[in-house]
Amino acid sequence: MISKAMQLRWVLGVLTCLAFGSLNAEHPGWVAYQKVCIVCHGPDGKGVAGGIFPPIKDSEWLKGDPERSIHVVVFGLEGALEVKGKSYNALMPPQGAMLDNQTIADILNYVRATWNGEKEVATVAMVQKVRDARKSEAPWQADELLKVYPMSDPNFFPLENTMVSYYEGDWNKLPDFSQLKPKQVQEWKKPLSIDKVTKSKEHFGLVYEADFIAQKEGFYNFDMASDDGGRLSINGKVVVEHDGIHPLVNHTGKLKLDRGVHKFRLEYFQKGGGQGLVLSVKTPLDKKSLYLTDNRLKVQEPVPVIEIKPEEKAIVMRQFVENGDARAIAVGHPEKLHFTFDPQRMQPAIMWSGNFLDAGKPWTGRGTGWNPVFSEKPGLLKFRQYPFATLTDRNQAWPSVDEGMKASLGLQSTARDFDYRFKGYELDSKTGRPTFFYNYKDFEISETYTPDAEKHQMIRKLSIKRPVSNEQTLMFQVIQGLEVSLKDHRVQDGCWQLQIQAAEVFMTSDHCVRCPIDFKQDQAEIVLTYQWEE
Amino acid sequence: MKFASLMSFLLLCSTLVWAESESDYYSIEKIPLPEGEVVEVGSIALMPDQNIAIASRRGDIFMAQGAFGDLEKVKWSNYASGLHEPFGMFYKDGSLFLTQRPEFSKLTDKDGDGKADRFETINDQWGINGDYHEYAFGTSPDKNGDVWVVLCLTGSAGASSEFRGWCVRITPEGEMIPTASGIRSPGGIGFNFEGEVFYTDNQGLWNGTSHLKHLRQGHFVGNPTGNKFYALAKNMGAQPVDPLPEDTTMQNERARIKELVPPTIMFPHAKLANSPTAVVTDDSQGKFGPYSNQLFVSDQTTSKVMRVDLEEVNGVYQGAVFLFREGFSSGIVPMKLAADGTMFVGGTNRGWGSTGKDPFALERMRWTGKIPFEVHSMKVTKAGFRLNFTMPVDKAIAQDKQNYSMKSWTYKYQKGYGSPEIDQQDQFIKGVMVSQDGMSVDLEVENRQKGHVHELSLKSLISSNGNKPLLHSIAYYTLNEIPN
Repeated sequence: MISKAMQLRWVLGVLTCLAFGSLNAEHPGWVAYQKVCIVCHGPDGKGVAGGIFPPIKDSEWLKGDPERSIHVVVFGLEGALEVKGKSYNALMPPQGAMLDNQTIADILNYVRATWNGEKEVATVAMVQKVRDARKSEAPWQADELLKVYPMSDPNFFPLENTMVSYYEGDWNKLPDFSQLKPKQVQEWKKPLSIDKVTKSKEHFGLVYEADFIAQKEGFYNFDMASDDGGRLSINGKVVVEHDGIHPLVNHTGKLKLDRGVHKFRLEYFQKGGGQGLVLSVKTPLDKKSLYLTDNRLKVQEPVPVIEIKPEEKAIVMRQFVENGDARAIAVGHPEKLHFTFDPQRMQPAIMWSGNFLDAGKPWTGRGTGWNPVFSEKPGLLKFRQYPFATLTDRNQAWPSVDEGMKASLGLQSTARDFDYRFKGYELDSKTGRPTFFYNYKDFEISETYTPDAEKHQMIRKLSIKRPVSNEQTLMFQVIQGLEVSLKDHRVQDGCWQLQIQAAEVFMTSDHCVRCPIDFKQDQAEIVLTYQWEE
Repeated sequence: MKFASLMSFLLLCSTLVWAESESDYYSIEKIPLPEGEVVEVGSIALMPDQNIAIASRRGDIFMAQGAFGDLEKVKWSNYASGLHEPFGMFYKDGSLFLTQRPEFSKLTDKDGDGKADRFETINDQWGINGDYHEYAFGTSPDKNGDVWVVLCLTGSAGASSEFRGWCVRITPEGEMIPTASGIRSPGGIGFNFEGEVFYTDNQGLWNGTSHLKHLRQGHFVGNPTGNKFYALAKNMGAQPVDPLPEDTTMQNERARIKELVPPTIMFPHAKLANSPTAVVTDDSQGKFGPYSNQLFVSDQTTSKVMRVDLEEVNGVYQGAVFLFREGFSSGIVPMKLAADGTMFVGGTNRGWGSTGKDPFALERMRWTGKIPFEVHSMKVTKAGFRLNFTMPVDKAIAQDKQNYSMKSWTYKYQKGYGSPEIDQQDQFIKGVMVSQDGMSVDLEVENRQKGHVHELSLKSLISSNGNKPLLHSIAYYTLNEIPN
């Protein structure tokens, strides 16, 4: 407790200071400071009386949220406290009854700006808010005040009780981690990291779960960049998400939080190539960015969206399309049903509805990254084997090639290794729709795609021409997969339904759906109607 | 005040005269582009009937009528869209042929409506994996009808896809022939007058500075990253020995690696060019000025065109490079020279900045008919170098050794990115002999260095007729070989 003598000294000080001359007559805060504060805190803010009174220059108490300082001035402060690492025990007498709101704001603005480098201004309204907010008139105890207005501690880290789970898998989008079993779970100390958790460079995912401590009510602005996909959720609500495969590009999100503890969840996956995860937050307490990750790379600005719109005719575009092949040929229809043809695998790779394509990535900067399609969840055709083979037994295994040598060079086999040659495409002069051409051995194959917007389906027609001399049986494999079912020429596989028009369709014991090609005068045709759910 | 404005007026005049002297000899005119379109020019083709075609990095092809005439009357039409960043295009037999990222293609307008409808894949054997750096630059057909394609490394540093870091040829039958290895990041490719193939490669890993390099079947031109694909190239024989990763030079490694061909021209980084691109021969038979059969090489970063004079010495190409024309509007990528001497110059600076501030441009450069006073060519001799001029020099000045200075340096040949200039040497001009007609000077030079670029400064020379200084008074000669 403070002694009566000290209180007296303070009162004397106030009286003496009235006699001092002005150092900076212009600033009303300085004028008032000289009258009210200078006696204890000194003309330089360093505190007088041989260290009994604490400094208010370069003091953590004056930094950060101005409300804390307003509370001290209005209600006073007593008891033990620490300033700049030194202990004090003195009474800061309440000034609320003596000074009006404007004067309190002026003094604090002067002290904070001149001696503490703080830009944020205390306002009359803030002072009034402080007066209204507190029921008690008694001076604050330091520890109580700090509970409400903690120091903007440069070492403060808002995550506690952090756990990190490590997963393995090859994904193109963030998987539902809750359905997967982590390879490893461990407690984590700040800051969040990728390469301190794992040495893996590809095909893995991380989920961080923690308590997020909000020191003050207000808006929290998050900046996240991830390579590849990342998603930040707080209290189960997605705040920032940048899914898919891409380089580090900054994405932002904000939400309002009450003071207290919130559930923090950060999901991340890496497919291959570059990797990285950067997350920072601006809290209402401190307008500076506080990094939650060890990676503090400056990241690129978000890529602008450049929408490609098929209007009168179909649009054919060769760009890197997400979930297509690097050679993908995207076809957009005015009917708003679109697909990509993969000229490496000679089949469609994705189908989607709505808007067509965003060329923002390849058309800006150096053109890094793959084009996203305008669909939250396009239909992905997972079946990626080559479509044709000449078989001696209709149930025999689908051909494979010896990948040994190419694999040793870090390469994958190509269409050429399977005797396919892509031959290009031709556009219909009326509709602009392409017909694709390719050869398998000396069979000549062409494919057309017709969108049917009403039924939300895409009709793929294959025409096959056999050289006269060739008597080999040709097999078309529609799909293979454990979950595939076949009934009345109708295939069901996940989100897909395929209607097959062919002379014969059968399923092998290892779940391959095949059509033997029935040539009539060396010509044959298969029609596949794709329906999918997005 | 009056004095000051007079002075600044005079200063302005003198700078204008100086700055525009190149334009006295070669004009640059901006060709208006299709309105509202982003046309970052990546390829230019000359079409029948004085039409031209350009392909943009966004994958559009536009045709222009009137690009040779009054530029206010240029008319554009769209020929094709949706292609994949083409760098290399030519017209033949009614079709446009195109080297684009994933393949070499033939585009034809079958129904005659002015738009391509048939997009034929002639060859798609080289690999791409989605990395933006995996560019493909292609030539026009050589005398056998083959198109030469140089394939940038993955991310300019790796070889994740088939034949990255290689030059391949595509035959008229659509076969791909692995031809040469050692490529890093090309900016353009073309033929010299004899039909030999040269391409530009940018400073980076294994490239101490940017280079012009010579491609022939079996050449290894320096970057070993793609050499693993010798395993896929049965026609190429055994894989070359790898260069040492550091502390060596091209000249040292030539002795170790028999397939290694040193750069034909070193473009001194920061001094001359940072990102060389197109390679074009002046085959206009004098319509483009006095430099018949020489090469013109553009630079993307500095928006300029350089002039290159080559010679073959002891079976290896080398030669001199001179600054030729600065002041283009964007970062130059393709150039095409028409038979009438019009050089079409296309530009883009997306992703890589350029001195020319326009994001994209198409320009034409023409000779004004006046002959500038220039070093026409610089040839190595047994004892030094011979300089040939475009017009007679002032013999008294040219005879004085003091009016020549030469220094040389080389670059590290190393795994790391780029190189400082190393092993600086001064050369001594021991003797000067000016020819009777003043058209050439023989320099006897001591301390020439094989494997160095030799910078010759000729600031004091003037022409005998009109006392003009040299329009460009510095030559850089890359000396791989000295004649026996």
